Amino acid sequence: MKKAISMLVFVFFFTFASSAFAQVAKIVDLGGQASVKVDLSADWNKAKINMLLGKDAEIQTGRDSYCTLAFDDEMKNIVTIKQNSQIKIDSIKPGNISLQKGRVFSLINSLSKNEKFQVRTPAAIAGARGTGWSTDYNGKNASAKCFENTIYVQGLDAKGDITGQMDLLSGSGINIGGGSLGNVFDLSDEDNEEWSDFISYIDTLTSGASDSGHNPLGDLRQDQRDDLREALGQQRRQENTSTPTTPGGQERQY
Amino acid sequence: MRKYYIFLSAFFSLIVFLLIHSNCLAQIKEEKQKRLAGFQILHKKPPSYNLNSSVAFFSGYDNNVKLSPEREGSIFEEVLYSLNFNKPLSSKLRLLFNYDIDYLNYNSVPRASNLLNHLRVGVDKRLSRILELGVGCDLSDFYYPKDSDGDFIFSKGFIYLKNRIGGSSFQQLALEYGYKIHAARKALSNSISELGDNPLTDKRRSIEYTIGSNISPALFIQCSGKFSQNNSNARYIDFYDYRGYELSPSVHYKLSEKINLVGDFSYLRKLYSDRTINTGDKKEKDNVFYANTGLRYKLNRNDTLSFFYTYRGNSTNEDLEQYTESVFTVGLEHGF
Repeated sequence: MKKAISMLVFVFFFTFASSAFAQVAKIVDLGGQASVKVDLSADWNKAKINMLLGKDAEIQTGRDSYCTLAFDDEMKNIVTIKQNSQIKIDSIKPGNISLQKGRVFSLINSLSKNEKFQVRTPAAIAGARGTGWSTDYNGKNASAKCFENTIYVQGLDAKGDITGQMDLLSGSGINIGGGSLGNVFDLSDEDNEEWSDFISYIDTLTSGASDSGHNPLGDLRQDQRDDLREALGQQRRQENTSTPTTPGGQERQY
Repeated sequence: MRKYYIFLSAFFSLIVFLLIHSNCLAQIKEEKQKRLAGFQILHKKPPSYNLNSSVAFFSGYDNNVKLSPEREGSIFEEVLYSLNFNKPLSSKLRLLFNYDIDYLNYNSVPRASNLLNHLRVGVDKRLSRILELGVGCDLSDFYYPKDSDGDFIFSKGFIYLKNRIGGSSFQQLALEYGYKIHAARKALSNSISELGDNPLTDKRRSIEYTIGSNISPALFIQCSGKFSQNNSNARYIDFYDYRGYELSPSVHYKLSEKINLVGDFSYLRKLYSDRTINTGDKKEKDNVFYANTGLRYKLNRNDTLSFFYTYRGNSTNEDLEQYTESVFTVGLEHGF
C-alpha cells in the first residue's frame, strides 16, 4: 500500500512539475543586442539563447537586433521581435504579449481549442487562433498585417477599452490610431517579401523539414530490409532449383 | 508695361514652381532612400543557423528478421545518433545538412546486424511565398560486420518542389535518382545459380507526390503516392527489375502536451518485369503492407520515450516470398 501511495505521489509530482515547466516561453534565437527583464522587479540583463521566460518578462531589442521566442516545445507558436522593439509577456497560455513599441512577427500554428494568441498594443489588439501576421506600434498608431488565414483586430482607446473590432483576411492590413480602425489596405510586395523572409527564417530554426513528414532514414531502413530479403529470396530459389551451383556461385549463410 | 509685369510674374512663378518641384523631388528622393535603407536593414538576414543533435536507444523484438516464410525471431538493440545543421546562405537560400549513424544489432541473427552511415546535403530555395525548390544528394553506406556480402552503398540525387497551402497544409512533388552498388555481392548471370564478375548494382528512379495538412492543431495527416522503377544489372530474368506503386497515408495526433500518437501505413504493389514465380510461368507480383503505430511520450523538453508496433507483410503469388513480420520497439531519445 505504502509503495502504491509513494508511486502515486511520484507520478503526481512528475506530472505537476512537467506541466509547470510548460508555462514558459523560450528564447530560441537572437541577434544583435537584446535585453531581458525576467519579471517586473528585476533588472535588465543580456538575453541569451535557451533562456526561459515566464509571465511579466520583458524583452527589448536594439538597432539591427532581433529576438525569437517559442511558446511551445515543438516551436509551432513563434514570435520574432524585430529591431528597436519592446514587448512584455502577459501570459504564456493563452499566449498574450504587449507590444510597447516596434514590430513583432507572429506565426501561430498550434493552439488548443478555444485558445487565442494576442499581441496587444496601447492602440490595438491583434490576435488569432492560428495564423501568421505582423503587428507594429510606433508609440501612437498601430498597424496589423495578415499574411495567412484570418486575424481579428480590435481598436483601443486611451483607457484601453475596445472601440471596434473586425476580421482581417490574408493579404490585407489595417492602421489603427486614436481608437479608431482605419481603412483596410492590400499588402505590398515588400510586405509579402518580408513575410517570406520570416517564414524562411522560422524554417531554419525549426529545421525546415519538420512538416514534410519525410523520413529518409526510415526509407533507407526499409530498403536495407528489402535488400536482405531479396538476397535470401535469391538463395531460396537457388536451393529450390536443380541446377548445380557454378564454381563462381556464392551462398549467404545465416 | 502691363505685358512686361505679366511676363515677369509668369517668369517668377515658373522659377518658384521649378524650385518647389525640384525641392519636392529631392525630398521624395531622400524619403525613398531612407525607406530603402530601412527596408535593407529590415531585410538584413541575421547570421543565424540551427544545429541540433540527438541520440536514441531502441530495443525490442522482431519475430522475422530475415523476412522469410520460415520466421526466425530475435531481440534487437539499436543506437542512433543524428546531427542536423541548416543555415541560410541568403535571404531565400538555405543549406541543409544531416548526418546519421545507426547501429542495429540482432542477438540471435548476428549476420543481419549492420551499421548505417548516412549523409544528406541539400539546398532549399524559396521561390515565392508559397513555393520552395530543393535539390541535394543523399549517401548511405551499409556495413555488415559479420557478413561482407551484405555491404552496399546507396547514393541518391533528389529534387523537390514544395507548395505551401495556407498556413497549415502543403503539397510536394519529388524526383529521385539512386544508384546502389554492392561491395561483394555479384550480379546474377544467365541462371539463378550463376554469378557474373560484376558487383550487383541497381539504378532506381522514383517520383513521389505528397500532400499533408494540420487539420487541427492536434491532428496532422499526410498521404503520398510514389512510383518507382528499379533497374539492376542482374541478367537472369531481370531478377531485380520491377515497377513499384506505393500509397502511404499517415496520421499523427497530439493527444496531450506530452503524448503524441503516430500511425504510418503503406501499401506497395511491386510488379517484377520478367521474374517469374518458382512454380510456373506467371510473373511475380508482390503486395507489401506496412503499418507502424505507437506513441511518443515526452518526459521533458529533451527526452522522449516511445513505444511502437510495426507490422510488415507480403502477400504474393510467389510462395518463397510470402512473409509477415511483427516488431515491438521501446525507445528513449535525448535531444541536445
